[in-house]
Amino acid sequence: MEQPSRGTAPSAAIVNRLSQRLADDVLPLRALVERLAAIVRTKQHVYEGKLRETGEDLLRAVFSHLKARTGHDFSKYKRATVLRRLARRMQVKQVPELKDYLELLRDNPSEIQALFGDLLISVTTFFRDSAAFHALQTLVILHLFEGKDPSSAIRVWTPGCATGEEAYSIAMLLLEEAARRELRPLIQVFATDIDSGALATAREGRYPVAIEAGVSEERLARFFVLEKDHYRVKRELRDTVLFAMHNLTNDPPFSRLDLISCRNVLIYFDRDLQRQACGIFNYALNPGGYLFLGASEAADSPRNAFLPVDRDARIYQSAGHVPAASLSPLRAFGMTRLDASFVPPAASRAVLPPSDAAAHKLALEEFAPPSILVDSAYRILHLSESAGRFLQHPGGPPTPNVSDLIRPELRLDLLSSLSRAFERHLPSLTAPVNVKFNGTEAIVHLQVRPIERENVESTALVLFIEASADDVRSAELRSFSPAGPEADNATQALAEELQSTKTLLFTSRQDYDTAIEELRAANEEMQSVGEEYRSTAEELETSKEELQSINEELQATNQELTHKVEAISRAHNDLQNLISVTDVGTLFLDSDLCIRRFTPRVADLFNVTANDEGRPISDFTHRLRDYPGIGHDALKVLTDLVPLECEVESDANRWYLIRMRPYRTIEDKIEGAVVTFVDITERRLTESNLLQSERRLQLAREATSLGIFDYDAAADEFWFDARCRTLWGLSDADAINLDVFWAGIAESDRPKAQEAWRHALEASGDGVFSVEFRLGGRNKDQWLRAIGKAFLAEAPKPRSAPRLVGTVQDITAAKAWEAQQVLLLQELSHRVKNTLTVIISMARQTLRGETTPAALQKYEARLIALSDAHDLLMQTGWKGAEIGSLVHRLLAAYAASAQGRVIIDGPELLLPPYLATPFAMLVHELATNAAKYGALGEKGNVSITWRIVLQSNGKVLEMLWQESGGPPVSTKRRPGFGTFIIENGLPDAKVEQRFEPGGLVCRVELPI
Amino acid sequence: MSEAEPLRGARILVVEDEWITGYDLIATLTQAGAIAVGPAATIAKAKQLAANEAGLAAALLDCRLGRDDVLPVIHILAARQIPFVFHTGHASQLDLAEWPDAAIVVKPALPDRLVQALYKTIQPGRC
Repeated sequence: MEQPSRGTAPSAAIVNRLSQRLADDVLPLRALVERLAAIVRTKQHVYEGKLRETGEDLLRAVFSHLKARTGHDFSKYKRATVLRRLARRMQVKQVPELKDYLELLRDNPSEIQALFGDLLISVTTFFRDSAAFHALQTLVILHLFEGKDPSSAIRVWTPGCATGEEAYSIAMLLLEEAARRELRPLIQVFATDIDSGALATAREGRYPVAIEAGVSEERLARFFVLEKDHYRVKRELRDTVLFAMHNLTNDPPFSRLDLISCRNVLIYFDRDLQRQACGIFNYALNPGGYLFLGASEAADSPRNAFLPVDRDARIYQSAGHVPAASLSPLRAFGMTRLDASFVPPAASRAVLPPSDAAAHKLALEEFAPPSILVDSAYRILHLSESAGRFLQHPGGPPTPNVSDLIRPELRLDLLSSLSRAFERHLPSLTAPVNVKFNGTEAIVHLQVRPIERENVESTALVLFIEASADDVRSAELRSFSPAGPEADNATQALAEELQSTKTLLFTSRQDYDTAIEELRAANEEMQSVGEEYRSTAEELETSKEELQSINEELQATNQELTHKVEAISRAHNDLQNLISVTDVGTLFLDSDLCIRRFTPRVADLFNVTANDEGRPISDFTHRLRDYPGIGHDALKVLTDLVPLECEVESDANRWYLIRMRPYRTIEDKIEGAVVTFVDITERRLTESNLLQSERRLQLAREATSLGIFDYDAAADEFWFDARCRTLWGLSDADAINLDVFWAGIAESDRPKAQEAWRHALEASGDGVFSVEFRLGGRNKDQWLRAIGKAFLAEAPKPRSAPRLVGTVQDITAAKAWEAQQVLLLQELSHRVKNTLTVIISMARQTLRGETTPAALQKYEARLIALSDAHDLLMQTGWKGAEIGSLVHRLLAAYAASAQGRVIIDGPELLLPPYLATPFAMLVHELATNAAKYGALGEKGNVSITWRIVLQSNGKVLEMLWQESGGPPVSTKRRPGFGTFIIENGLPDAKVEQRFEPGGLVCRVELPI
Repeated sequence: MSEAEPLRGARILVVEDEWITGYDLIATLTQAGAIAVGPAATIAKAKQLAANEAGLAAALLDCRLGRDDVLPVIHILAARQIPFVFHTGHASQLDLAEWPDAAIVVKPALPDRLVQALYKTIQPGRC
């Protein structure tokens, strides 16, 4: 039967079946169908045929195995039925050979149980064969109450009760009858079976609603309670029936029963076992007790144990206890299983003192003629010691019938005498008859006397009187002497007539015997035909039961399948809806890559319609760009069982994520492939935008060499970008938090940085974070400017705590510039101060208290010379002034007036600032003097030349100022500040002024 | 003090690299009656004069000669216990507070101030 799948509540039918252990296999639906198909395909009769040819040994092994495991012996069950049931099990288990099945039995206790269960298949209903039950009700039930007082009990036994319907049915009839009577005796129904599972069900008293078909409404109302989906037996009915495990053929029976109902049990037994069972029934019933059998069953064996009451309804009445000798040997019963009210057989007789009785008996035996006691059924009830001689048992089963047993010679006479005795109650004495004993001949008379007694059945006594030899002879003589001397004609005639009559009689007897024999033979034939028909009927009955049970199983299976189909329908509907809702193109391919099914979206990409299911996918064009390999890829997925993913663009410029996976069934079998097409155009666009944006950001960061930090106060999470990590000396794996941030900053700058941080995080502030600090650690002395802002809302919601995001920028260079700037300013300040001081000094010395225009002019001119020097120094950033440029500059004022009269020549030389200024002053003085008194005046030439020479203590600048052609030299020049400037202004220089005849010559030697 | 020549007879070392200023200082001191020694325009010259010149009553120090601070000169003077006055243009790296006894005269200064500072240095306590 079908295995209920997880999640579905098993139906009541399944639960029932499972609890009754009738299912052979519990499988998932698909496997179940396959198994059924396999079973149907292999025909059962093939198995049966094989089985029938199987050796007895194997079968015996099966039976002994069954007996060992279940305690029940099936060797006496009807062979054909057993083989059929065995074949069915083998078919279900797909084991064709019995020896293999035996192996299976040995190894699997569950199979033993299954076989046992199958052998016990019994189908039973309430009031089965309602006509028979009606007959039972009218013919039997009434009589059961007769002669019972309230203290006595009506005892009923239903062996083979299975699930109890029959026992309950009979109990119901009894209870109904009891209700009609005033006096109610106790009703006891013993219901037994060897199937413990069935008994359990019977005890529960729970029956499906379907019993309404066999039970009338009144009975349902009176005896049952309707509970939800089943009927339960009411207490009154339940208490009437006692269920017990009992093996009819093995265990001692109940006794003193009024009714035994054993229906459709005997059909499973072979002839011997049937007879045994009937014998047991006879034993168990009170005389006159009733036996109720199933259709196609009969209680005719042992003979005369039962008399039919209603043959059609299969109701019999016990003819009284059959003596033990005429029954097949009963097994010895174990005392423990005996009914407590077991009555020992036969009342005991009064006993005479042995010696007299024995002596008398012996005497009688010796001298009295042998005798036999016969009952009205012509059965020998008792024989005397020597009566056996006159009996000759024919071949065949033992029989008590006197007509069979008596010697043939005596038969005719005996039968007629017995007939006379029973019917007319007249004794008789027969004429002597020749009897041939072994070797000897004897003449025997039979004397038959009827015995009538009150309350006892009529019997007859047959005495065998043997004539002596003389009597024999005389009898012979008498019988065979037709003529004698004294005989007269009348006597002669009479004797002749007698003779011919005797002869006629003899031949008649012969004919009669022959006829009897023929009739007997015919009767035997009829009986065997009847036997065969009965066998057939029984087999049909058993087959019918099997089919009924199979039918019920199939119905349950069918119900299950129906439910399953409904579930599948629903699942299918769900699936359809799911697919259309998700809007994903899905393509299902089978193992040959043919289209099994697809969702509407697939039609966007492939030229498929609903009619194309079943065709290979490679038949169709698709609108995917640069993707030739869908068939190839699907094949790869099928063979390698590895999923595949790729992104492909369609002709409509949309992108799809194609995912291919093998199609797996629930049992993990591969049956094709599933391909999904997910539109990822938006995603790709977003991705590319994002990438672009990130790239831009990246470039900007690189361009600006900014580092970014992000602190989320709500989560206490700190984030550094790569540049910040580098600056703080952290690897990609290092954790970052606020403490790490502070630790990276130089200790001395930490307080101001922390203060700025606090300020930024203040709720009431502007949230701006701006601070410059140095880094510590590896990047010591690197200056950073940190700028950030605390955000208190992340649209549209406010944050629980601010988020401070900002950048750091390396300003080390800027800071260095700053420092340098400060230095430069200081330098500048110094210089300015110095220059001012110089100017003041120069003013003081030049003017010396005079403020005449000439003095002022002189002062101004000196200042300008000083300024010229400064200009040139500034041009080189105060590195120095180039001597040639300086001289040119200084003499530029005179270039106009003394054009062509000045020669300036010398190598390039950069004079350091402390030399350039005094040198400029020197040249200026010389020039001023030359203009006032010398060659730069109205006439004359000046040559200014210089060279660098290497002396012992270093390089020396030698300069020569040579005037010529000028006015005569005047010695009226007063030495003053100007002279000092010339002669002492240049530090460490040797300056010599000589007034040569041509003009002034000034020689300067200046170590540089 | 003699108003006309308040520094009469004092030998004063002048350390100054700008020659015009040095000339002027010499003139100022000479006019105040002092005997000016120098001007020493280089550290070497200044060190030499500071160490060897006898009978120096005081020194007038430009804080920076060229690119160099006059620290070495100060040490020599201090060792000889010759008091000194700073004549500074604020370009120096020297922390002049290290010598709290030394007066500081800022350039450019009137001659009188210079003379007064020197006078005070040479004759402390005397007004």
